[in-house]
Amino acid sequence: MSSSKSSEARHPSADVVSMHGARTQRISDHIVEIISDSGEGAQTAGQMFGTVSAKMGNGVWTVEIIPAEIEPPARSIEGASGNRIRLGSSAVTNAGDAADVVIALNEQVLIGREAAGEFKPGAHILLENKWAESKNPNIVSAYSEAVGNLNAKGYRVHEIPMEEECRKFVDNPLRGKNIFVVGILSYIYSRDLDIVREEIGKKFKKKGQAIIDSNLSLLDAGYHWAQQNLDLHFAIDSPGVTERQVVMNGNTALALGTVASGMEVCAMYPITPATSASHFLSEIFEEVGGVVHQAEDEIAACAFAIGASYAGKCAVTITSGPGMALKTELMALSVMGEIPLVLVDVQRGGPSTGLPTKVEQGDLLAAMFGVPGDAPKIIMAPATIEDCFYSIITARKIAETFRTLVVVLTDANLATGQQAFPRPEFKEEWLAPPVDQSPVPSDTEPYHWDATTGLSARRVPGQPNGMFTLTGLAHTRQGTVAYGPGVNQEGCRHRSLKLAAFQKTLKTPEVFGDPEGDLLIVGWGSTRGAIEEAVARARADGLSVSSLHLKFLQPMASGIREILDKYKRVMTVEINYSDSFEDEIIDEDNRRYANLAWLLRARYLVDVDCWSNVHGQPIKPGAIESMIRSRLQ
Amino acid sequence: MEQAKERTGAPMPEQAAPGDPTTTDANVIGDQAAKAASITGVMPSEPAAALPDAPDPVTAAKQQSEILKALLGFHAHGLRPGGQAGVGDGCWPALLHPYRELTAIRHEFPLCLFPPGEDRPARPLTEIVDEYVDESGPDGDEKERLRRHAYQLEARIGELVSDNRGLSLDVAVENASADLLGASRLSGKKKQRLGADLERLREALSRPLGLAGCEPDLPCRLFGQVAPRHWRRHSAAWSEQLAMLVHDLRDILRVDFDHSPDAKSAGHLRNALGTGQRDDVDADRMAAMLSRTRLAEPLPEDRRMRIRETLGTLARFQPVFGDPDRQAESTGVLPFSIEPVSDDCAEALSRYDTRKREMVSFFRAVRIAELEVSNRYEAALHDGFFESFDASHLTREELSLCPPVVLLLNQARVGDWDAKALLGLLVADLPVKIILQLDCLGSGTQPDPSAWACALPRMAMSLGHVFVMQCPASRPGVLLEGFAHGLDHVGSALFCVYTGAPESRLPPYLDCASATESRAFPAYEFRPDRGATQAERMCLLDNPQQDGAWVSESFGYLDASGETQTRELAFTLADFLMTDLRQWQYFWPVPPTHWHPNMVPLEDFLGMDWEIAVREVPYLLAVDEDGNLHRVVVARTMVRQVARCGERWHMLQEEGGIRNSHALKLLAAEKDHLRQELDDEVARIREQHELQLEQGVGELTREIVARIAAQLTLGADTSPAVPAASRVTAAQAAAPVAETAKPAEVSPAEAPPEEVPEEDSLSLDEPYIDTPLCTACDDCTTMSPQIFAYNEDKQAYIKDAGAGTYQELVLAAEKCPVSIIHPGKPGNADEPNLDEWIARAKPYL
Amino acid sequence: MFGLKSECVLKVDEEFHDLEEYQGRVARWCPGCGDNGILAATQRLCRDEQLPPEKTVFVSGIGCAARFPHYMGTYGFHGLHGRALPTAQGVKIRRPDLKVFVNMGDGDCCSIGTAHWIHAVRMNMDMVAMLHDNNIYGLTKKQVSPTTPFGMTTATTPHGSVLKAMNPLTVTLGITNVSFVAQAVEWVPDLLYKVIRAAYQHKGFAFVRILQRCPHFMPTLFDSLLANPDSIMLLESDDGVELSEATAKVYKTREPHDTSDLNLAREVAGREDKVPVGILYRNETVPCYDELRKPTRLQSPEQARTVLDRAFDRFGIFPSASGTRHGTGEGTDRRTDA
Repeated sequence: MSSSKSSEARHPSADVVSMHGARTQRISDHIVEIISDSGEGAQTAGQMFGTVSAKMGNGVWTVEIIPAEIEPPARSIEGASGNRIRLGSSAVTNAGDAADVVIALNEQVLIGREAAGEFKPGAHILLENKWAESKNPNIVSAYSEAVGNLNAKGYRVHEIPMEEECRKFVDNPLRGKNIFVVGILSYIYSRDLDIVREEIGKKFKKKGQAIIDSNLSLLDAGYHWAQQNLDLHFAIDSPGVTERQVVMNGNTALALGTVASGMEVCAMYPITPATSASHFLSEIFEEVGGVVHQAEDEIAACAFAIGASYAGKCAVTITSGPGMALKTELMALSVMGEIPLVLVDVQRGGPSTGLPTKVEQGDLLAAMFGVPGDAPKIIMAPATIEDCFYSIITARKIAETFRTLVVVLTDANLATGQQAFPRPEFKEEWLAPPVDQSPVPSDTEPYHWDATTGLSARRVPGQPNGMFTLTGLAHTRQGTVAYGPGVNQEGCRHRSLKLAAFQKTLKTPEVFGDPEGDLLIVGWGSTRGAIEEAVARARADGLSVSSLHLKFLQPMASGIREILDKYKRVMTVEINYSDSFEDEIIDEDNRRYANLAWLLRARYLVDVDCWSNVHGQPIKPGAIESMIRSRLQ
Repeated sequence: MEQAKERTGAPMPEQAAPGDPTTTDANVIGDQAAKAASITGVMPSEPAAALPDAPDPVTAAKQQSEILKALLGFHAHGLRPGGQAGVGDGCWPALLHPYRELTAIRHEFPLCLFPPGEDRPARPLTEIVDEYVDESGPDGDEKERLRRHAYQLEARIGELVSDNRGLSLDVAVENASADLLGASRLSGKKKQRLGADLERLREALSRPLGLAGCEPDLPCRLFGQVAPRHWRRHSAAWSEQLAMLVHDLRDILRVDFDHSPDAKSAGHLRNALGTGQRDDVDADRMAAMLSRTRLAEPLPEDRRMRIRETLGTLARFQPVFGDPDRQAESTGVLPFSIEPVSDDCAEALSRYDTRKREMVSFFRAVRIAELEVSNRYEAALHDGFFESFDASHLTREELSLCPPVVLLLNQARVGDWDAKALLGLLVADLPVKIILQLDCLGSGTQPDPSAWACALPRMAMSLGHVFVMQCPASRPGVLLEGFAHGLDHVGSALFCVYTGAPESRLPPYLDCASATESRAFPAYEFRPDRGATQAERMCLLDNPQQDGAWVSESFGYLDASGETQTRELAFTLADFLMTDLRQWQYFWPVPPTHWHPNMVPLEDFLGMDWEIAVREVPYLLAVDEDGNLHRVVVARTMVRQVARCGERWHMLQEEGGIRNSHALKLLAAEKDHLRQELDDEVARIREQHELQLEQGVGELTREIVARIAAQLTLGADTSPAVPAASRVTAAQAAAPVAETAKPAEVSPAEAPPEEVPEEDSLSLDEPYIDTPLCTACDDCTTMSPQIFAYNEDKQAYIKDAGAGTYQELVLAAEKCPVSIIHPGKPGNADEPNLDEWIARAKPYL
Repeated sequence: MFGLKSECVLKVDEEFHDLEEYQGRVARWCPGCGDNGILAATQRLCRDEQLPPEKTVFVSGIGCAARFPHYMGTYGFHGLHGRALPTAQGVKIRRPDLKVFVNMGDGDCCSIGTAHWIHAVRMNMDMVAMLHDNNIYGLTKKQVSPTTPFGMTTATTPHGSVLKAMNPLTVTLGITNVSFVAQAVEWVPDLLYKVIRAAYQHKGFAFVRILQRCPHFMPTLFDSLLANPDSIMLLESDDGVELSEATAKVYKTREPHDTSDLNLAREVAGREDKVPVGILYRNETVPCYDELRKPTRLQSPEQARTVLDRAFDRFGIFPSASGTRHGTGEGTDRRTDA
């Protein structure tokens, strides 16, 4: 309040001068959070700020802050909606720890975030101050109370007459206040306004020049207001972009990966947080002869995909945990019939309906063992946005080559997180070959299992003299139903051999850090960035810690055992539930471990410890770091 | 035609002097005649009939016969007296006079040609202008002014185009409006208005459209507009199928590659696995893994080669039919030139031959592709077939997809034509489209070498399979349609277009129009593919006054006394040819001083037996630049041409279903027949009616009599009498019927009971199955396969009853879920415990 | 296309598939099982329509009827209980060249697969769906099914089934986009064959309910119908099925019908006095999902490259000239600089 009041007196240009020099802080890494009631455009503002920074060559990672409801009541604590942008002078691999600067359009949305420890001590909080003059006394009191608390906790609160300022340029400040915010940030972080204007132009292209112009004026307004009234200015190295890149979130990457894989059918049923992948895919899929089929339920979606795949081309079905649970019977069919299938599980918080919009890595064991009977399948987990794109291509290729089901496990963190990565160079080899209609050699069988690899050529309707009936029942090499004692044994053996055969082609993953030491942290999926950052920090302080990140979780590459053996202690860091010894009755005999820990212990007979939680938040490097320190004390 | 304001030959002053009996007389006569004319159509004796400076009757008579001699001399022998040559060089047929100011008339030209992208090939400028004006703003003065200005602009553009050809609309509009502004004598507000309107029009009209006038190259230009569009529309449908075919063949090869060792190589796998910065899969190891496993196998070499080759051919031809994805931006330009071959029939033939060869190889490829994509190509069966594949295998549909060869024939260069080759083309019905350009429709005394060209269309028509269109250049709309129809026609087509005579005194447009007006060049279309009957094939393209012999219009003029006279004039071939300098020798415009009572309008002259009418001289009315009326005497040779032209036209009319003599005859006959029938019918009905009347009366009287009788005999009760009466009537009615029916009638009672054949008489002894009811449950066929079998519809029948025991039959019958097995009687009497089986068989017999 | 139908090619192209080609493994249904008749009729249809065996796919779920594909000489997919329809849809969606048939039992279609049944009718994809309705769960040994008659004692309803039987015809006829519904009884081969043929010739989702005897668990279920043919009521219309002489002699009951009248069809389907057979409803104008979603663009490497590049451009970041000039800490609004 005070700052803005006094500022009006000051001469702007003089201010600009004084602004430069001493008070400009040099930084290499910062986290900015923009929050508001949903529908106020904080999301847009955040994405725009992120994109601009990426275009200026900063490392960027953005995370959406999404309430579970579409339109929660205004000014409600759990209604916080927005975007958190981490930007660094070099590449950024994860969402980082706590926010340095927060911009909020009302004080309520701050409360929950603050309580969750999302703000750095002493963080700058830029707050819309119109509430102070509200006609509603409750609001006024709530506002002043909240501001009071924040100040008391040592946050530096800057109250800003956003609406008042916007009103000078537009009749309805609710529209466009977020661009005013972008203006403020652009000043604070010395963003290149030309790039920002370009983004605004893109964003509102459809809405016409008038809208674009009014937003541009709001941008400048925000910028200059900050310039004149804020004693807050950072310089961060923005090396600029030297290679062509793309910025997108994980779900978009999945969609593009699907196109790049040459698959033609994606069958799905709406489920958070997976659905947005299908949204984007639906926009472009028909351009390449593809079809996104929204089925009547998760089961139908999977059956549809399997049917399409059986008819010639591997298909994909995208879902989340609860959906995968419904598909299990069909996953088994895909394994039993050796029908290639790619199943993407964008993991969310469980069990049951759990935390639909929040992140968790709780489906690994379900994916691996969720199917009754022996159902060997390949399971892989992308660790970055880029990975999301390429993994689908890989999955398709493996699925068709090995006639098997490939499960791709991403999570809400990847799904909504945005990151820049090198623009992929299209390769024709990515594409699935067209439907095979060539005549089948008469001396082969529908399941012409290779004795060593278990591999066999797949048959597709339309291939002359290839006629056979695919069945989910135990079947012979001819595909005929048979219950003889040998039959099922032979089938299971060959399907299992395929997995071994594939395992033989896997490279041993590389260790991050020294090849040996006191502690090895093993992770999988979206946590890689956070883990490696934490490890790097700890190592910087001379701690002997390394990390290992697994992409293929079934089968696991050779050489892992040897790696584990080189460290005094091994533990996994995961976002899923595990018992903690802090609970009185938990001991070695009843402790339930995190997903990956179970697997490592089982396979390598190593006493693998684990550290995990189900807060529904991406694990922060800081948290991992302090955990490491505590373990190594 | 609106009434023309004319002055007749100026009479002498003294002639006009009052009190002069002859003139007054003449005038009176003239008046009366003029009145009569409208009624009787008798030729009014014009005032000129009263002869100039006639001192006395004798010399007058002398002069008369002199004149007549001169006239006859020209008419019969073409002897043109001296001193008269100069007269009437500027003479136009009277009916055409109002059109001298052609620019004042809005017609189809100039014609705007649209770029290939647009499906509309061309439109008259007038149409576009009207459309714009009509759509611009509300009706009212402003709009009307705009219209006026638009018309001025339009007219100016017309002039510009005729002066320099190849002008494009936008340029023409610029120049024209500039000219108008420059020329206009308007000033101030009015001038501003003009400027404003012209500005609007410039905006609306200035598009880089080609402009075409009614010029000799019009047919080619229009054809060039139609052909590519037609082709695109025509080939669009199947260019998609073709694309699909190419796509499918490519897919076969892609799959084949996927089966090849190369696809299992480390290099390929590394790319196919699509790993980003870090790859977790070792491509080399996977390659090793896959190469040791038997997976799908590549195609046999010969098949791969065949597919490659086929694909090559198809891909080479694909552009010809356009890429379905690019239909929109397609420029419509054919890779196959539709550039016409000029006057060189042999060249056209050979061009067609090469094209045919290409097409054969193409469709051969198409069919091979068809078989390949459906895995139906079997070398043993098909190699031979495709060895011998040639043009004879092409279907009509395929032929229709061969881009046409275009041949342009100019009558002027008739000498260069290879007539034999030309006839060959037409007779062989090759898909060659011939544009025949005529510029001379008359023929002189000595046989004109180019005259036969005019007969070509009728000759072609007589072949029966050739599409023929005849139409003057003055009708672009009809031309465009005709070209389209001709291109639709699979075989050869002949488009005969009259593009105006260079030697004509008329502007080309008028020249062409009057060619049709005069019956010299009727517009018609002959479409063999329309159907088998003349009625379906032959179509006259609304010629003026199509039902009449000649076009005739009323013509108005002023006579000596300034009275308005009107009369009906026919527009004959002669009127048309009169404007052609080459034909001028057959015409002699005579001044009023030489007009003679024996002069007869050509039309009437034709009506009489003119070959022997030696004292009559046929003439036409013509008007010179100054608006003076002339009589133009027509030479006999010309009259012959006219007569022949009339006959040809009538023939055409008959073929086009107008005044068809056969039809008329039949009609008449049919009419008589019908009338006859009608009369008979009427007579019959009347007869019947009278008969019934009689009967009715008879019955009635009988009944009444009966009643009275009953009354008299039995008193009150009348009931028995009624039935009696009705019985009588019944008998009456029935009697004749009974009699007629008698011989035919055979009552079943009398007839001996016939043996009705028992439908399943055998069933009791022979075993059998109701095969159609068998549900193929396999029971009987598995129990006793030696007895029971399935037919080709998989329904059971008894193959050989003897092959098994009676017991088996009965068991099967019992087992059959639809109980359709009938065991019949045992075949072998000494089969063990037969009685039991016979007993059990009972329910199934 | 391209005059390929022209005899010159056909002559050399002729290859006739006889009925044996459509026979797969030896049927292992119980003796007298009604499925045999359905199999025979279907094989006959394939033979008469000369369907290329490699281009024909039979999809089934689980149950006695679901063994059907194994007994055909074509491609087959013997999938999961209740999931035959969505699987078949997947098969068809990008393979218009395949002829797809679906064989389901009453449990498969009307119980576990009900959701799919309803949506399959609504999607109206071009295929033939045969409901082998024997009113009982056979393979699992006589449990009550949705179509089991009220009061019938079964393994799970020892005191008689407590619910009225569901009528698959009225259900199907009640669903939006229904385009073909017919009924036949398997023990009248001529009728069965003709109904299935009509279903095959229909463009769209053709639903055929076939009353089928289960001699093992329901030996007497249809006795009354078998005993008096008059209870079988053939729907007669110009575009309906016509019985052969031999059959017509036995089955005489006729009912004039209008296959284009949906309400009439529903009414007839609900008849309980007689068993309506023949075509109840037919509407070729209902759009097919497979047509609606057919590729607008053929897939090709070039096309994939184009689409991806477009997308990458949309999310693209390109090397900027002003690359390294950022981060100086000065306000970078070019205008304030100036």
